[in-house]
Amino acid sequence: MLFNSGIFLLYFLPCVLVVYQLLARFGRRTVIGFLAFASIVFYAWWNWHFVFVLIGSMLVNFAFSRLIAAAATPGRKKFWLIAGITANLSALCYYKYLWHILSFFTTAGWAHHEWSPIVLPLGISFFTFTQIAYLVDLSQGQATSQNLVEYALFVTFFPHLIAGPILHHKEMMPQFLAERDPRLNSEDLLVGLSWFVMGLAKKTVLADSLSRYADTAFAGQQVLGLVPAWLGILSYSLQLYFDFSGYSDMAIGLARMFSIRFPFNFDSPYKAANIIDFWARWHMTLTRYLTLYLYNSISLSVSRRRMRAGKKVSTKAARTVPGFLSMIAWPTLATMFLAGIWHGAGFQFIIFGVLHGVYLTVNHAWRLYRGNAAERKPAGPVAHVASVLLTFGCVLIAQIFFRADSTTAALRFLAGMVGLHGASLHLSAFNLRNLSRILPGLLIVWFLPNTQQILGQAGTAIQAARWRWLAWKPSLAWSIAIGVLFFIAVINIEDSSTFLYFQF
Amino acid sequence: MTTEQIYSQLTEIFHDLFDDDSIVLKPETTAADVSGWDSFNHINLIVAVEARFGIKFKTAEIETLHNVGHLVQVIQAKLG
Repeated sequence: MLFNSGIFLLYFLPCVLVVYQLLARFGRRTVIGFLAFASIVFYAWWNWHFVFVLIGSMLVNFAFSRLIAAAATPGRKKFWLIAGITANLSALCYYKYLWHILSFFTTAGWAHHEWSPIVLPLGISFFTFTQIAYLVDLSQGQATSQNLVEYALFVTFFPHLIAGPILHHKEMMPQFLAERDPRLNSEDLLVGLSWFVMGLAKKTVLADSLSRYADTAFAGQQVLGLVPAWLGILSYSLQLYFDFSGYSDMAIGLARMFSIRFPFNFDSPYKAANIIDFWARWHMTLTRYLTLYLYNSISLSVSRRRMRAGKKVSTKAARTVPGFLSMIAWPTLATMFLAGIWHGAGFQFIIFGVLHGVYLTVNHAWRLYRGNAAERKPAGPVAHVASVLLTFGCVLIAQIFFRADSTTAALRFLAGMVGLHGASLHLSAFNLRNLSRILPGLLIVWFLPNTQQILGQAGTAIQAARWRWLAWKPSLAWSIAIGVLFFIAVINIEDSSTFLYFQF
Repeated sequence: MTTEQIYSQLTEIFHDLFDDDSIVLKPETTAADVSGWDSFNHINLIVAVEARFGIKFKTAEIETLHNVGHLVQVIQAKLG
């Protein structure tokens, strides 16, 4: 089921809210069970065959979690942890990469069989990653063991099931298990609904209209000139942001309707002044996940090995070439390489990952070279704008590889952007129309406060005084605004649209 | 080991790691208060603390240790 569909908005969501409220009198265990059941129905609606993959994955991981919890020694815990991670990654590899690997063998001439593509169960990357994190946290004492129904809810809770945010067990389950009245709370419902509607509008009004031009620009074997190529990548860049951040807003809003607080996933990423900051604002829960489980692990083992070998582990050591390479460059590139592969099984995704790895490494090197942050003067407005544009440009280039059908297509597109396939600056009527969609999008991402700032949530607030009037309050004006926005969002729903991140 | 001793050893580590002898550690000090305490230096801090106190941190613990007060508590707990 999709959030932006009639079946969800008119039937599923209202029914779940009403039944939840009715069952809440029986206590939190009842509603936990009900939500888990409703979430499985939500998933099965898309394709009932794959609900068995979801349930299977859940049961297998639950078994591993029990084995880890019951293990007497750290050695045994580690054994079951590795077994669990291997099982999860094997399933993920099977669905995501096996066909690509086998097809690669066929194209390379090492095999002579036409393999049929394996359909990817929706959200498998997300619910696999979430469960792996739980097993690691459990084995290290950062999460508690729980019963099957609670575990089922943790994995399948429909707001986050299909495309995140990627949650830690300890930030979600204690909220469900807390000693409080489980009934729906009116303030949470209002905030959640507003949040959901804003996300829905981003998706159906902004992302879907931009997708038309972006899809045309990236389709097939065509060669694009300077203007169409730039319009194409700007459309895609905005589409991707509104689509995914809109989806995250919907997920956070839905959870909030049930008084559950999810972490933010986006924080105005296109306003970032450097690429390190960009990743702290884009798909934040994935960055958090990769930092915690991948980057930290690699970095720790490098630094520990250096200490054992008597080498220094400090900022001074990082300014030397061997120190920098081993302590910063290697963990960053390895992590981003894996991040690239997680997104997809084509060579262009590897390039995407490695590009960002290189960007981040260069950024770290620049910071080390520039010295102590406190001694630096803050950047003036010109320098700031230049940094934002430079960062945005780097992100755009990587996004070309992310979106294109193949590496060759991406390079062809890039060549078009630099004017190698015609550098005419003529704007046809068609292009002007697209520009008229792109410009408001750019103004929004560069100047407007983001959703959580407008809603004044969790310590965020609208910074600039000129935007304070936009702050959300439960007032009549806002009720009307949200109602109108909801109406506009719903009439813009297209059945054929899909969330870009569903393919992951 | 007493809390004071832990604080004094930790202060030496901070002075050396961040190349700044003026750093004063209080229980409420966090990564936001010390210039240069980013994710890279956090790893270095962890490794230096492990080496100095002879303890080991788990990967999942590390992101919870951006607060000095909590860090000292965890060190004390591991020293037994």
